Amino acid sequence: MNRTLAQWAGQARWRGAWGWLWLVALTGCRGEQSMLNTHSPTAQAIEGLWWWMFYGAAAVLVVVMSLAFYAIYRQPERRGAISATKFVLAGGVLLPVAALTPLLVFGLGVGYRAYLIDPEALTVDVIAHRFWWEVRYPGASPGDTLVTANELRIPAGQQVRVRLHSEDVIHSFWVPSLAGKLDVIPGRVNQLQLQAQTPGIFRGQCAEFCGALHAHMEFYVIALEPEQFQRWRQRQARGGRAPEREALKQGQQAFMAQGCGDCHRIRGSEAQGSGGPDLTHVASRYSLGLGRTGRITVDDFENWIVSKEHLLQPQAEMPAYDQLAPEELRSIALYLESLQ
Amino acid sequence: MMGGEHPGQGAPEASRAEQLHRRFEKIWGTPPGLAQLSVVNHSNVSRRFIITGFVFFLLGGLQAMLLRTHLARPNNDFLDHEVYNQLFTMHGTTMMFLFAVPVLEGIAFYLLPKMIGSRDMLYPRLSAYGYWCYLFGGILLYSSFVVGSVPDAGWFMYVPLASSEYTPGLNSDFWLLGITFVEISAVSAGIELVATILKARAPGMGVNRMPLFAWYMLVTGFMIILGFPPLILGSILLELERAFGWPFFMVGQGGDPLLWQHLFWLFGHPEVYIIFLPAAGIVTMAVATFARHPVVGYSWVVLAVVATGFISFMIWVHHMYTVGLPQVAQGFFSAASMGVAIPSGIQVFVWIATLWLGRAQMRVPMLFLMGFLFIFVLGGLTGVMLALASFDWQVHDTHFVVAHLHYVLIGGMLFPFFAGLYYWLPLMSGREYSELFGRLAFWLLFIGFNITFLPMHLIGMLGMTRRTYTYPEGLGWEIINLISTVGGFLMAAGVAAFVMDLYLHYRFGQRATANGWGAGTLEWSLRHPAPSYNFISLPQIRDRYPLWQNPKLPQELAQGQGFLADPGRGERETLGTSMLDAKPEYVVRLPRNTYLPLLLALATALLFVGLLIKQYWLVPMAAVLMVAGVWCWLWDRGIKQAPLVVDAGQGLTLPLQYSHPRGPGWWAMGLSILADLSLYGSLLFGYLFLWTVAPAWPPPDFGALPWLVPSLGLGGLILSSVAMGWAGRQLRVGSLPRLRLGYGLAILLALAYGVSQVLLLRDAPYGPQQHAYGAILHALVGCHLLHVGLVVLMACFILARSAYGYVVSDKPMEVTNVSLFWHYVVLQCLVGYVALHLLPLLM
Repeated sequence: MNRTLAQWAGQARWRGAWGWLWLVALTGCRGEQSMLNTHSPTAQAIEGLWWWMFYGAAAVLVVVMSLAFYAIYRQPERRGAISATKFVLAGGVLLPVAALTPLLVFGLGVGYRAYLIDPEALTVDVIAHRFWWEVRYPGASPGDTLVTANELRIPAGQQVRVRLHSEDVIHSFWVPSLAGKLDVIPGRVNQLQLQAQTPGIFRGQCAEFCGALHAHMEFYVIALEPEQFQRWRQRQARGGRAPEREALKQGQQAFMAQGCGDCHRIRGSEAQGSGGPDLTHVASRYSLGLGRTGRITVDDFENWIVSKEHLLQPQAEMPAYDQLAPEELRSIALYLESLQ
Repeated sequence: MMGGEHPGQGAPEASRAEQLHRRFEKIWGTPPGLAQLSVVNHSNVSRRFIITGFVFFLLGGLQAMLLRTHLARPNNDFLDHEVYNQLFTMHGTTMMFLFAVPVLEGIAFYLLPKMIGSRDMLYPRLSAYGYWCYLFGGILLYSSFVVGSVPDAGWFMYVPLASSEYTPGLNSDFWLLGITFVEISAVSAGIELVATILKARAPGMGVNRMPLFAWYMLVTGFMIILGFPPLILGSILLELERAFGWPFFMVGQGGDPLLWQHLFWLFGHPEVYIIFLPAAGIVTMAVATFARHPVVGYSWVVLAVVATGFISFMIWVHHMYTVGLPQVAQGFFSAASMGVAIPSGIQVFVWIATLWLGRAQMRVPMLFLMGFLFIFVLGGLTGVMLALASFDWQVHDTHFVVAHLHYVLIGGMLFPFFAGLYYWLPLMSGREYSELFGRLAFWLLFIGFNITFLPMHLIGMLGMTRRTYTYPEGLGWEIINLISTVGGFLMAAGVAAFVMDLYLHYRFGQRATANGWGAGTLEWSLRHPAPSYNFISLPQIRDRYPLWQNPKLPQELAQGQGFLADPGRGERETLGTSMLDAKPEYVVRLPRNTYLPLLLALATALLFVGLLIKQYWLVPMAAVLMVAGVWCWLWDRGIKQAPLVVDAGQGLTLPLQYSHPRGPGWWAMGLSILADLSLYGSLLFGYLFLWTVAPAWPPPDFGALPWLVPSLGLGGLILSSVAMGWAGRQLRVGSLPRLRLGYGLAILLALAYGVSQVLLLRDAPYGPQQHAYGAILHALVGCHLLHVGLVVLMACFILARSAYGYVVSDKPMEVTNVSLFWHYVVLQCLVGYVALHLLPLLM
């Protein structure tokens, strides 16, 4: 992976889990899409819940299995005398009631706080498509709405209200480091409160099976310092940069000639399609489909358009443009790469 | 087919037992060659269920191995996403619908009559029909591989992904129709289990003396009867949407995709316990035998099982925590789901206490039981975690859930299934198993299973969602996936060892000694392998463990010192006893081998194939064939020449079931009505659910429903019920002409009601395709019409029978049954009227 996430190193909180410790160590629990590496109060509360339940469950398992082995292998003469009724009542009724009542009360409290929605918070609309995420920051007027794709930039330390919409089937919005998942259901608008305590990049993924390329429906939540976020927002609000260099102008022409603008929008140009992702600032994004992340290069754009090694299947709406002449392809890629 | 002898028999007794055996075998035995297709005996049919189910298990396992192989490496190109999505859909579907449920039904069918002292299930032809439906439905589903339209929307078929817009091919249709076809066998098995357990127990086996397995299956039977219809209804609605554009689930037209989720999980959660309870029943039986101690806390177990049955219908929403439900609902369902821990805990501690008080011997079945205990308790504990909504938001739809459900299902079903097979194998085959291969199979399965699925919890928490056909490097998922795959191969080796063991067993196994385990329940009193007729004579039961109470019982029964020991009448007979205390009530004459179940299943197959390939002219044709089949099926019951009373042995004279007002047929009718009630209730639920999401109901452009004609029609229908009641009383006093008059009147009134309903639809502003309201209105009215048509047919059947002299006052059963169903249908139409016409006025 071409990325450093140094800011995480200091925060990875380790809590021992003897049974699984070696496994965790083996794989390096630094995962960027992990509910055990949390960066919001909600996710941390749920992680805490997990560790309580993990130790409790481990204890119950050990006790039950020990009793079973004792009951089988201890010589009958030496076994302690039990009253069957008391034994069954203690293990089958008292134990679960005593253990689960506090868990339920505590767990429901966690759930209640997680669902509190602050109506004043910054609001972002996320629209799930097969197989990508459209992200809209509503402005003062509809024309000011800022549109991007597959990444959700938020100011760190602040509450963000995410409204979830689906254009087609059911999806599920999940960024485990920040919050539990919430389904994205056609005909309904579900709301999720999102907060990242510190700046960072958090991977998310569609969690409800949505068809052919469900596995590729990932996205990133990028938490920025609030000033940084404001700067990014202002930059994104501008229209797409008109090409100045000749090569880029050719690229733009080729882009229009190939009909890319029928599906994609580049604000400030004649490309005003709405079926596919908005490309106004595509080159400033953190990821470009199929796991490509970091600084996106001209080659990345080329590969994406023809999708040589990748899988733009019929079910994803964009066809593979593998008939383009090499120079035409290059110029479109150059143009896209200029859309910072 | 000769089995081991019981020890200590003298020569004359042995030869008398042998002679009786041959005579009973002549009545009950299996014909040779192709005629086996006509077999209805429970031992044969159940073996078919088990073997077919095991074949599907191997197929589902093969699919799982392909999936695991593919996931061994990131960005693997071993499979493409299309095949991957098909395989995981078919793996889940196969294991749930074509393996777990049918195999457990098979085991229950095989064991129950033997455990409760009956010669067969109460409806042998229905068992056979159920088997054929299962087989043909499974074949129909798998034929999707042949035409290349394999279902690929996941085994719970969420809409709109599974709807025609996003799955335009036949993929989902194969699933919906194939599974509905298979479900016929499940529902019929549920009815049969309940009726047989309640009515065919040996004399003296009151409900408090039943083997606990019978209690487990009784509750399971009820759960099947109530739990499967929501899925069947959901499948019908989705198929109506896909084939004819009735928009039940389409957002733009007043439908709601969440309705599908509710209907699916209303079935889907009870389904988990429908799979677990029979397995827990197996565990309970085997624990008593291997501990050599009666199960402690019999009533606690019964209470726990019944409680599990109830709770399982109240927790379906815990599969839907992430759809955005109100907090209150999430809290309620969290609490209810955790509540399952109590009955489960009671059972676990009952098993441990029984072992504690007994002297356990560690044979192969016991090994599997211990494996079960570990895996199931672990799966139960993660289940408690998932019950908590807030935790579930994180791990829902990840590999954590995949791991959990495999712990619960493999732990809760597969390990007990293997334990049960090893335990009852000597009874089924008359041979001993090999301790060596059995242990090898166990350790491979146990170790392989835990290596596969324990790390899978972790990978889910590290963010790996389920149903993703590929994953990138660098997220920390590579090594865990590889470990899981290695574990999967170990498990596969375990299954191979088991198959090997089974082969060696049937080929070279040593003859089993009778009741080698020293078990206490009735099935072990049979000769090994168990004969087709089970018991030469039926016992009088005085204890929960009859063989521990009277070790000589097997010899006594084999020599005919029990009920119905005389094969002289040449009929297949068993006893019907009262529900609670098992007092003999009547002798049940069971049908002999017949091809009718097979033919009827073929006609049913024609119906489903017609729907699948959209050749709708086949449907009425198949319906006519099915009606004809059922007509013949019923016609040969209630035989005219049959005596009113027969000698049941032991000085007891009993009526035949035809002369008894509460014969097996009445129970079948009552239980079928229960299943139908669940189906209709689900449809009403759909109506009310769509109402809650609609801004106005009926929609403004639809306007209010007309009330005059439907009200008149309903009034007539209620009168028809009165006419039926009057006709039934006329039969009791022996007046056939008045009976016919009453029936004729009732039929006319019912037909008038039908006309009123057709007019209602004709005058509606729009049909079923424009809006979900139109669709559900047509579905409800269609349901009423179908039912009214059915009762009219039944009444015609009675009229025809009366013309041939079958309907007489001392054999009132069929008239009673038709009246019962008639009143039920009238009630249903009345409820439908209230829902369609009155409720919108009140709101």
